[in-house]
Amino acid sequence: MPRELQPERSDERLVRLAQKGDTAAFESLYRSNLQRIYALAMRMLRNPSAAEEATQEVFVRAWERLRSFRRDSLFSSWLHRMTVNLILDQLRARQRFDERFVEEPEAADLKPARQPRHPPAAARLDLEAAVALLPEQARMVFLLHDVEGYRHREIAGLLEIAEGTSKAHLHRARRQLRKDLAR
Amino acid sequence: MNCQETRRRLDDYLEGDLGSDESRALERHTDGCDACRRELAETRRLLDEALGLRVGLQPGRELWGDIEARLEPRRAPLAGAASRWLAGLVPPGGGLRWAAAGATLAGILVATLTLVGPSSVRRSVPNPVLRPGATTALSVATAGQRQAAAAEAPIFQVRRDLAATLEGADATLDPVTVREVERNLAILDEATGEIRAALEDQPSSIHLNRLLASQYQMEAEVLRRLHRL
Repeated sequence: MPRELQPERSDERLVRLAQKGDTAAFESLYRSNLQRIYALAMRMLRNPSAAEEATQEVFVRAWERLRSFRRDSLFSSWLHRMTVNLILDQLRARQRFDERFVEEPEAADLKPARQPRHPPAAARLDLEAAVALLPEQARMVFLLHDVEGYRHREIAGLLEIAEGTSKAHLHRARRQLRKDLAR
Repeated sequence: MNCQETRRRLDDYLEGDLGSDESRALERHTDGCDACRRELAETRRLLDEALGLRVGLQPGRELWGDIEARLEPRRAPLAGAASRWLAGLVPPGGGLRWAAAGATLAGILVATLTLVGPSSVRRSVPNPVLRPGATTALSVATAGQRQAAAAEAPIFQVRRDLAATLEGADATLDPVTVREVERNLAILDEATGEIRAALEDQPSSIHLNRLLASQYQMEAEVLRRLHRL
């Protein structure tokens, strides 16, 4: 359990302590950032187990890289970026694996649990559920742009796509969401 | 501006990427067109709701235990470890033996860090790209990773030996020397940390893996010398 921390013990101070090997300080950083990081992982992966594993991996990686964190940006932003990169790497690796080694039916098993493309007409979907129904690239662009505030140029770099493609995915995502939410 | 043009430029308008003339033209159109005005309003509402998704979610289980279990073995902070080893063993007045050890270590570290400092790490990053299907590069890199992992193991053994020696020794430690040893260990560890951080981005880099293995060997040698002293 984390030891009691003074209110003024800011992220910056916790980072400094964690950089020196203080795991209690790192645990405090973990607790204050956990929900945002897990939520991001969950929305990108759409699978609670995969999101939990990714979250663990992010914090382990953050610990390993903490000495290279220069404190010229917010720790939360640094961690956030690391999460996006890690998950996109995982998705790309899985896609390559699927393309090379897995037959179609098994490939479907390896992907995050998918919900039916067409939601029940009677129920008005909330945004969370509607986002989960978007095609993968459109969902990623929507999450990164409209939820997380990344610019198209950054998204293009992260997803290894053209900036125009990012805009097209966003346009498609918004149109689909408007349609689904209007049901 | 007609409906088709308006809907095509709506995202750019909301992004603030349209020039003032185009923005005014779009606004004039939406003022007079119910369908486009509705689409603009719905998109704005969607963006407001999207910001609401920034709220966090709680995982279904406690994750910290598993995370914590993976922290120490993978990256035990030398500086912290040195503090723990040396804490409580520093008598007033200090001692010649540890002063000599510190001086020797500092000398070794100067040589070590000249060879493997952060700047040389950066120069050594070759920026390779691992393409799908690059099995040859991957297999060689895997051998490099094994080499680095094999070189890492002695570090932990030497640390344990040194800790055991220090705990059992009736040593006399000069606080200045302790600080110097700790500082140098932290520098050495930072160099290792930078290589490992670079490897996180390029895990299959042959050069980085060899550099890490070399760094571990030097680190082990420094610690062994310190241990012997």
